[in-house]
Amino acid sequence: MSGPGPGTGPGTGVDLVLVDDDAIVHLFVERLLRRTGLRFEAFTNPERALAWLRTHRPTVLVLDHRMPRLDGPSLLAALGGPCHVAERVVLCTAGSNDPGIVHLVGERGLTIRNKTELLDRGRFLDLLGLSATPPGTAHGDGEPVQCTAAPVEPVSNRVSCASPQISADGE
Amino acid sequence: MLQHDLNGSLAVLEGFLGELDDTVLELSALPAPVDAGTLGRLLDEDFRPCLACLGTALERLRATASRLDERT
Repeated sequence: MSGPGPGTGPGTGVDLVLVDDDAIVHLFVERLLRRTGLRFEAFTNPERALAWLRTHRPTVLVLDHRMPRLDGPSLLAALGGPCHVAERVVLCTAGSNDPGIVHLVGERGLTIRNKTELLDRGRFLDLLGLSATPPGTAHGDGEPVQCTAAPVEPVSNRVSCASPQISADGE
Repeated sequence: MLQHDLNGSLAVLEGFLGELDDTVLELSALPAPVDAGTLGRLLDEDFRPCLACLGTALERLRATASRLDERT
């Protein structure tokens, strides 16, 4: 992995950034993280994520491949490649058969063909190479998650979640 | 795109079903009688949110299936 790139480097305080236009995936990931103490930012709008990532460098970036306006590979390319974005990039490829896609995430990165691999409590942190800190060591620990029953389409820029530990779209 | 939509919905269904399984295990491991506060917490923080998200994923699958019907 090369230097920290355009961001502010390690120590920006964010362990995981999720960029996925599907807000329900955000709710699930938040559930998995809520008692871990890990710090989490979530973006449903990839363009906003791109702007945020220009000045921040998380430990892990989880990125969806197919998104409106700006897909995952284009976002990585706009930031100069995976080594400039995060310590580790995890790309959900949505079943893409493009053999070149594995090269997009760099040596330490990971591609996931099916989100089922990601949305599994038992495997989630191991898959991302993250370890949880004891509860109570980070902000927002133990706050309840409120998944609204409202339809999540059309895709909005904000996660339908009342929990304060998600700073949706960097706000 | 169709594969993406189907896989996304199925992943959400599997994920939240797993969450419900975990909550049922947590509930069954509690000593009886379960106090109202604990039960309320499990309902509000786990059962209801998971069921709501499962419902949303199911609606999406229905919408995807409708698109398939339109194609055939």
